[in-house]
Amino acid sequence: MSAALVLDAMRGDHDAFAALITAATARLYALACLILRDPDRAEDATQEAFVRAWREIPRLRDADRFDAWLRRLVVNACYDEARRVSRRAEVSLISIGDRSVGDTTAASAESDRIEQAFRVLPLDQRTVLVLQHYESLSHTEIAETLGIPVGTVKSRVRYGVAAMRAALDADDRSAATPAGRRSA
Amino acid sequence: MSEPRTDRDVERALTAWMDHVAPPRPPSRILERTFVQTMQARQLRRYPWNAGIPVGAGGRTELVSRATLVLVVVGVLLAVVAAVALVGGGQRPAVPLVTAPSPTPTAVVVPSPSATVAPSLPAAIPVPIETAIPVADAMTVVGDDQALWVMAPGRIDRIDPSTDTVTGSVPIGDPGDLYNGVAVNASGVWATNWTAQELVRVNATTLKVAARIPAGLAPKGVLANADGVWVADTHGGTVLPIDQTLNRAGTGIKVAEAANSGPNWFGSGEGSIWVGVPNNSTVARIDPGTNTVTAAVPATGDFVPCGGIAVDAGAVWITGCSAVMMAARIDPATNTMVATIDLHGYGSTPTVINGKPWLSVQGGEPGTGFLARIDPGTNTIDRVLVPDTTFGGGGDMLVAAGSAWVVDGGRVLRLPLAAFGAATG
Repeated sequence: MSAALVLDAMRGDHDAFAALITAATARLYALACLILRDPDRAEDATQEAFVRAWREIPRLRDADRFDAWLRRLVVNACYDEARRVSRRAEVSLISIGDRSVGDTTAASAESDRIEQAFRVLPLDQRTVLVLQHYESLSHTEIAETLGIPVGTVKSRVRYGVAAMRAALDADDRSAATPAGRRSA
Repeated sequence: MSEPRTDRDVERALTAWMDHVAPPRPPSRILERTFVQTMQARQLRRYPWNAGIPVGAGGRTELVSRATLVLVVVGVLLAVVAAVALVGGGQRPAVPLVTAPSPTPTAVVVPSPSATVAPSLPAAIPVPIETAIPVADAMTVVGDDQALWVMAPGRIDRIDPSTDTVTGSVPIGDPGDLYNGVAVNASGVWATNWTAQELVRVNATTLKVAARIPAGLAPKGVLANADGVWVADTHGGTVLPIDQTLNRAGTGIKVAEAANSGPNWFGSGEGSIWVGVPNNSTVARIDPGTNTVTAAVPATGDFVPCGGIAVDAGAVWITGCSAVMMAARIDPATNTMVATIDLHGYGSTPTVINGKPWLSVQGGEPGTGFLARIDPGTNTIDRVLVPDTTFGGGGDMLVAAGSAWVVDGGRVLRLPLAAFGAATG
């Protein structure tokens, strides 16, 4: 990210803005996909965030904070998108990480189990886990991104991981149970 | 698993899983559609004199203090320009200047940091600003002789043109939401909230929200006139007629497939309503009596029909927003796009004054904007006005109360209609 490009974009240079978001799109779209677990919604959220970024970039106070600011817009757009989905009861079952039926490798099975455990987490917990484990942000940076206290970040991470561990453990126990009794 | 799983195990697995399932590349349409929208959407400008000034309802005191600051800043800029001129320095302006043939032919020089000279633009004429009314984050303006309505994030401000003051402000929603269109008719002031997917109806007398009407997937443009109210549902691909009695949307008029970048902005005239549809590159013509599409006018060349529309006798003018910064002309007699005009910048919604379309053109940064008139005889820009040294351009215009009004950043400028010239310019 070039501070000069950001300053140009802040002054209304659309080419500079285009260069900035072109460079950031892959990472931010992936971020949205991981949070929302739906490629179509992620696409909408990313686009909405970019449009908002264009409108609001003149109000950015510190050009060096552009990356964090844009990330925050994308996360906020994901929240908006999730609320919209919830309001319309249109929760998509499409999964980015879904494996084909024939893919039965152990690694793939483990990936599916993580996917299932992650998907049922509340949005707040999914978001902090993605920011920590995909974006590699510190708890302080996550707190700044989300505009919440660091303590809240830590508790969301803790509860999220605990919930995933519980789900995976339950899955382990289920797998160890004889097939005839699994649905009993 | 032989040993109990720890939190650390889960976190390691999460990191590996996220790296594995994260999509390697985004769909290209994200950027394509973003650019279609951002080239049309205005930036929310914040000029130096906005900083440190509390944002209020725009009362008299604030108006005076802001106006004073504006004058100080303009004065300093002029002094700097004059000093540079005296020592033989300076840069060529983006728009060549001539002395204004106006009632106040003061030696106004419009500086520009740009070294680009657009050879086909006529010399710019300074136009005196009658009043600059601060309206924080002003996006667009509509109105008539009695009142102007300025939309800003989360609110609509009312300007009284008899006093040039903001006389009211109506909160219409979360300032963080994305607001797009605003229109006014005898039934009220209407604004679209893209985020909340609703059309907000404001009572122009009580200055209160009278209704919130669900308006499709992504409401953008809104048209309100004596015939009715219509909303462009951009993602739904339809134009929604609004029942003003029941405060609800009727059956959508399909103008495109449901997708991003569907119907955008409206114009009205020649017995029809017109709406630009970027994703199928047409301008849809709709009969307001039957709410049926009577024509889909295809765009020509690189023109993307995603800007504002004005309709005058025998011509429909629409602004584009592709990389090529153009306006286009449609012949309503044949429903064909007959000309495109290079604007030399991103243009606002056209406004017809004295039979000719005018646009506020964004030069790219503050101080490089200008007002341009298109000569319908030649389909070229034949007159250029520059209000002051900080004019950014690109904000919408209208004519009301004997003046021209234009939104420019956080202010609404009142300009003398005489400066916009007669037919010969």
